[in-house]
Amino acid sequence: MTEAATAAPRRAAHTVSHRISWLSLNLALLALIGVLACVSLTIGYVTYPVTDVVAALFGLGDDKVITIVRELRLPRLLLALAIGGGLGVSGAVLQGLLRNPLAEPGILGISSSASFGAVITIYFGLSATFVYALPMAAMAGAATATTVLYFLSARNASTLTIILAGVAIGGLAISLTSLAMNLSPNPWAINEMIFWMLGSVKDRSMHDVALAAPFVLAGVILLLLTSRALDALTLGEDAARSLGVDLKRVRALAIIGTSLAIGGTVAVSGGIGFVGLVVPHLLRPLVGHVASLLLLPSLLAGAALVLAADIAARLIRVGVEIHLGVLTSLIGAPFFFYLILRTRQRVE
Amino acid sequence: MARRAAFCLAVLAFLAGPSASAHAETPKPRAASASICADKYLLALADPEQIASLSWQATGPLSTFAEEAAAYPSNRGGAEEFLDANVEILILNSHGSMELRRIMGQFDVEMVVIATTTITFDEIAQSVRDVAAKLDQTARGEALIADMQARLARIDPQVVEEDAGPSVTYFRPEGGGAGAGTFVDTALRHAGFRNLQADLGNTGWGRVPLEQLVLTPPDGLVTSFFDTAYKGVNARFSSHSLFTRLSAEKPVMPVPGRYWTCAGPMLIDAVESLAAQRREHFGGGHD
Amino acid sequence: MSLLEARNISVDIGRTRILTGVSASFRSGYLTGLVGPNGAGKSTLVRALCNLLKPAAGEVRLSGAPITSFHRKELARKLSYLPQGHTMHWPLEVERLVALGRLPHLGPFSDIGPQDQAAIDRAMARTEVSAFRFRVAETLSGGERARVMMARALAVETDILLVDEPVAALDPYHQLHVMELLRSLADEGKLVVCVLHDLALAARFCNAAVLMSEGRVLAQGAPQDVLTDTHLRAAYSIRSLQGQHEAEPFILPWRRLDADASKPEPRPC
Repeated sequence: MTEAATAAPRRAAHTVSHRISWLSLNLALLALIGVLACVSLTIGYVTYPVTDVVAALFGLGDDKVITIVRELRLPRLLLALAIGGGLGVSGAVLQGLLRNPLAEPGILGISSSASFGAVITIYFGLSATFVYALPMAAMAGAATATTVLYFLSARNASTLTIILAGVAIGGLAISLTSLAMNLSPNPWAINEMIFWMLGSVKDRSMHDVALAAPFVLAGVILLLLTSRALDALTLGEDAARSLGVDLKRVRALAIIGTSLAIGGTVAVSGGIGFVGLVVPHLLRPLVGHVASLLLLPSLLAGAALVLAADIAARLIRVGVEIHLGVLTSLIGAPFFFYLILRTRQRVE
Repeated sequence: MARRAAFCLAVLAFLAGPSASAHAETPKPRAASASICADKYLLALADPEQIASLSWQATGPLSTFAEEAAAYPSNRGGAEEFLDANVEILILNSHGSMELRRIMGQFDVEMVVIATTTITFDEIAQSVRDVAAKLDQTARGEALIADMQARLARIDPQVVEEDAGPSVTYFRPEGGGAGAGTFVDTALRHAGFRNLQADLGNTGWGRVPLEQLVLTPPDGLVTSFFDTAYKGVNARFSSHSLFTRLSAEKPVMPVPGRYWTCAGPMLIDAVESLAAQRREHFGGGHD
Repeated sequence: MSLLEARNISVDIGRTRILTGVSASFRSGYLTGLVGPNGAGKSTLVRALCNLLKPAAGEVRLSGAPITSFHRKELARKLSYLPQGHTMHWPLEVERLVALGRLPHLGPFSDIGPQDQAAIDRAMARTEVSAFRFRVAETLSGGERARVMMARALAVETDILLVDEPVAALDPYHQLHVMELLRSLADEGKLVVCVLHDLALAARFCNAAVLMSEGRVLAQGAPQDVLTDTHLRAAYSIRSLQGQHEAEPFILPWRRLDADASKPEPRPC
């Protein structure tokens, strides 16, 4: 009795302090995004003074600068944020759903399938003739992979089956992509395919943003709806179901949400990976390993990370511009190794 | 379609030139190029004031005109750069920079696309005409074409017509080659060689299997890019025992890779280099 | 007053028939011990009772209505399940883990309210885990973790509680503690079903028992009627030592059957 009474004030303070730190984490990430956004708008291929850039953002000043800032730098910024946000939250959801810190959006094979759709349009030359051929084909690829995964999960397949199916789908997409490259009679087409798959947000327009944004937004909303169920899944699938979680619904939300977010971004920017793996993993200790609390910070941190990588891509001047996807892999792959070592240590 | 129309308009404008120039002298359009291939066209055809920038590759190892290009600003292929420099005409390849083509279409920039499927000298001439027309430099374009044709005519017309020259196979360091339907094939034939790979029915940029070369060895080897390729790529194929034996037994005729990064006016340089090496190794020919 | 019944259910897992024609009923106010050898189907029966499995034949009823007629969330507020193994995929703080038990009571966008917090506190107090509420659950010993999981199951504050081997990892002090806790919950009017391996605990604390073997129910009813020597021989192939101390029964597994027949019969105390 006395224990409970003395514990009460301590507990309340602790609960409140948890809330404050979650809030401040998100605010800090938002602030970081703000700073990076300013930097992103200011740097580019041509240097303008910061005041001119800000004015141009509001439609004031030299027409040329306005065009560059609004039609080139702004879409680049928005796309980078959309990609990073989508990847971040999708990674957090998948890691929570599959209860595995090594899970990430690529594991479902959706980005590989979207890439394959895009490569096919390059192969047949459609991407040059019809402007929307490539994005549409990429989304079709993502949708196909999604449908297969969804039907598998709806028939109550186990988590392992879903992972294996994702790996199989991804493997198939990659082999078909390699086949297209192999059969392509034109070495320039192969180059184009490869460079597209490396992932980039260079020279994208507001049309691309308009194309990708609805999908990313829809995907993110679906993903955020899984938050409570992810907490319950900490206890395992049986206990979660006994707590009222509809496992089929959660899987559907996760898979479809990921597809929308990833499909939308791959369609306009090519393949960008590792963000969905790295970001949730880094943030998890900061939210006390609570799955539901991880979603929003992962979204924000993912956006910040991709934007930072894109800024770096523009600053590094060694001849050919380093593609965004390459930079995120360069950050992500060594981190992946580190993760494996740490997980192995803990198991031992 | 649009290009033909523009071409007709250009011809009309050219014909009406003298009377037009009596009125205000309209400045020639500012142009930039986004690839090494386009750079060559721009440098060859435009007035120095017209050139806003050349691609960053223009001063690199793949360029035959690095010193000339150093005088001009260089671009990284970013749309911002072209907009900032008030470029009106952008010359680029049909492949590569897909996004650049997409986005520049929204601004008031006219794009001239050089097809990577350009193969014959006639097609190169057409390309030159198209670019010249857009740059308002039709006279210079015709002069360039005339120069190309004159230089072609000087290369052993008889040998070329008889099509009885020595047979060669083309090699790149990673093992690639050139069959029928490539501009390398065009260059080889205009230089008086027979392209063994094309004769065997091969088309495109693949390679004749080494086995086949054992059965029907060529009279000589034409190599390219071995000087600029990375050592690793170089070593794997070129250290193959069959290839080393072949290159020890037959004459090897290297052509600098920068002569033919694409089918452009500089292809004639490659043809001349090949013709000279043919005379050196196989003798004969009329000059 | 709740009544949880399995009516002649048969359950297949893959191609294997695990339960055959199992009928058993569980009442409020009783702590029912579900005992039987390994592979008897005890855990499967419990999962069927929680509607986590669909029986191939027969049905499970809750207070007369088929269990499938309840909406997921509604059922989650009536019935709390603590699986074996005490799975915990992420190293959460103890209090957050226990708080997961409140999920069935939370609306889609609401968070833990004062009522929920009170329930969490009660659950932690009852299982004596309040002292380490801020510790990360991974750093706890096996026994402490088992109690935290029990607290999570209690936090739901349902009328029905099904636990699968809750005392397996616990030291004797805490084994007794948990069994006392379960019995007191039953005495308060809850319906508690507990899968046990320990016959002694089953005999002492349960006021109802169901003995299973090879996918069927061998006996059910009062523990003294179910856990007889005859039944235990049939189910476990063992001979037991039974007796009383201070008016409470004890049962000890004594000898395996088909062992040396020359060993003397156990003498009752």
